Amino acid sequence: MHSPMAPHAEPALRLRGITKRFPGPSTDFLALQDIDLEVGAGEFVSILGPSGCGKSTLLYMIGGFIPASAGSIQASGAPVAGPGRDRGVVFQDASLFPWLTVGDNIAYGLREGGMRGKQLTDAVADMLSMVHLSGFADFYPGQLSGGMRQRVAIARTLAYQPDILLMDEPFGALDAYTRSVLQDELMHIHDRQRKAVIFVTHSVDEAVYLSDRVVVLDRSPGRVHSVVRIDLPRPRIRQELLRCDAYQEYVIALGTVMMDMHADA
Amino acid sequence: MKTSTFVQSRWPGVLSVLSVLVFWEAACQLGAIAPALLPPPSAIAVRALAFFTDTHLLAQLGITLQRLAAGLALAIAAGVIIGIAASLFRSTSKVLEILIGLLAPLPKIAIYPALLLTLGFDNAPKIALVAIDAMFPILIATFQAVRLVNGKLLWSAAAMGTSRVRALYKVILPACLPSIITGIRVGAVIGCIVVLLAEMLASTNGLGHVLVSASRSFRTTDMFVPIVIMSLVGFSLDKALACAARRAAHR
Amino acid sequence: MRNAPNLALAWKQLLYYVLTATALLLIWQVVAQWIRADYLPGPAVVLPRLGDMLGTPELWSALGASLLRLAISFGLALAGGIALGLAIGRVPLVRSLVEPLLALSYPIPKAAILPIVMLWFGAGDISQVFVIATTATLPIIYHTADGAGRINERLLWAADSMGSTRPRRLWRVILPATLPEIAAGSRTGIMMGLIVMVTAEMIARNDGIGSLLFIYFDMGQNIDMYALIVLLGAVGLALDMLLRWPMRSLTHWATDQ
Repeated sequence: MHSPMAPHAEPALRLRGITKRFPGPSTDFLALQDIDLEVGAGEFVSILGPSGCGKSTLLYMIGGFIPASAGSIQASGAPVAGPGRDRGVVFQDASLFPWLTVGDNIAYGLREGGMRGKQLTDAVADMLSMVHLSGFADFYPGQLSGGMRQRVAIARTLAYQPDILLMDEPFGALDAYTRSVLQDELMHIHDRQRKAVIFVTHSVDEAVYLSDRVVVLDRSPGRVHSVVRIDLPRPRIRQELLRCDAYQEYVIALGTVMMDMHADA
Repeated sequence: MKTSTFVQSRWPGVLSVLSVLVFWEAACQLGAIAPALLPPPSAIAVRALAFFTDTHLLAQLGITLQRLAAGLALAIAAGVIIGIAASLFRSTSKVLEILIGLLAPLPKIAIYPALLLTLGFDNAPKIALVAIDAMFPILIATFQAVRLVNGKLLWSAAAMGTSRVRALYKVILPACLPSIITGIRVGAVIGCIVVLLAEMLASTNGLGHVLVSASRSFRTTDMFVPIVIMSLVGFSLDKALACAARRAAHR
Repeated sequence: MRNAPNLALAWKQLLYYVLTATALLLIWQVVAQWIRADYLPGPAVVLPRLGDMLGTPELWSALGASLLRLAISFGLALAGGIALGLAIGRVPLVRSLVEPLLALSYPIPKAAILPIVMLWFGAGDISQVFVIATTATLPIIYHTADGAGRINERLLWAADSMGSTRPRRLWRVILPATLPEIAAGSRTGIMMGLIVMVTAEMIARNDGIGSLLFIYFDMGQNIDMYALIVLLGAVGLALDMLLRWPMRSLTHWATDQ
């Protein structure tokens, strides 16, 4: 099982032989083994797998927060040595700075990049309208719902325009309705901005609905089980897709794969 | 084969304490620090040991410890009784809360001259000050612990036909004991500090007086000994009560 | 809008305080009248005397000296405490080396070392500031270290991925995140500082309210002495309130979660 070459010339992300070992009391725990992956610029790739298969660990290594035990990661042509502005992250709990307002949260990355004054306020206003939260600039994260917080988190990360977007089950803690609304908003943004996205999820529906490719990760140890190209037209309209046979077939196929993995465990 | 984690986690601490002592000793021996200002730990240790062979000085220690014990006994009795009594009713709880909020910020040492005035110069004002200072943490700990006791504990006791007083005795107190002991722990350390200070300010005997008379005669090493001794007493009480609290929690 | 219920609660709390204080004063007056002795004057004479004293420059210079000393000590305690607390909270090696030393210093009566400190720094303010600052800084260190060590790691990762260097991350993320704990430690610290300040002034007998207290005692000016005790109670209460309410605006976000 190898990943097909991404359609564009220079991949935004290239993983070779990524392995992660955690030291343990008696033996080491092999979380991930020999992961190869390439993601093209502008491609939306989901990492799908059962809980505990190491998908978040993989994401954090791409983000540069955890070092790999073996293998190499190249992002935008340069080796990944730590976190960087080229790889933006959205976490499951939004991880907004609770002492800053929504506006200041979004401005954080922009300020780090040196932006000031009117240019900054305009940029923040743009991001707020992009996630449909204009008027909430002076609110604090503690006053927002989970869905609103995730919107702010997305706005905060996209504001400074990283090349790659890393998302760790960002909609996992939300109710079904909010989740579908945010999925659509994310796709709308992705259609316009065309940045590479790596989206970790354990939901088959979500993976098929959002992605160009789905990488299925096995567990114990985490290995690439299979890679499925999702050949569905963009823009993806939920009502149409739900009636589309191809979509349903992808969901059933991947759902079966997931169930088999659970059974093997 | 593996070194015990207890030792592993403690060696940097032991190392840093030892290196401070070694550095201190060396600095004194090499003459970098004047012994009149800061005697080496060896000299202090020698004086402290000599202290324990001097009957007069031992008597002073005894006086101080007696005052401490009496004050703590009063503090525990008052703190626990008031804490329990007040927590039984909502009205008294509220009153106690306000009283604590009003009186806690007052530095109790400020009352000491008034105590000297009303109770005289001997043991009574010292015991009273220790009692007042140590009572607050014990009172607060008892009060909060009893209030927090799970309502279910009381319900199940009632279901089994225990009267309210017996419920207090058999159910609430054992559950609150660890917190109360922790409060006593804080009060005990405060008591050690306060008894020494009270004797420093107005006493003709006790360790505090020993300290003050040593300072008047510029006997620096002798000034350290009461501090070291009371710190050790406070440290031992703290550790012993921590142990007792752990035991009480596991019953 | 959000502050309205808090303000109402504050007034209610204040009312309870005033009522209880009045009740205490009444009890004091009753006891004083019943005992009828020189050594326990009642609030009926003490409070007016306090009023008179507040009109004299002597009192204000003593109070001013005390409060200035406390302010300087607390400032030093805060600066040093936050710095050391952050180091202990974020750097494991610092924690394992320094924490045992701090734990050892906890049962040492700081005011009792004042005579020794006075041998080093003289009988002036430096000795007293030293003793007050070292006492006040301990709770600040502990609280800051605790808060800094418990920061949600993903907040730090988010800052890293947005390009914050380590120093900027310390200033823009770690410090604000620890602010609620620093506030809690500061409240404990300043109250302990107040106690040590009074004690140190009593021992050193230079200037300040504590010194004045014992002077009145020595000279048999009982009413003046009790007036000072009431004043100290008020000062303590004011400090407690002062550090409670403004802190709310700085740390409101911590309770909103």
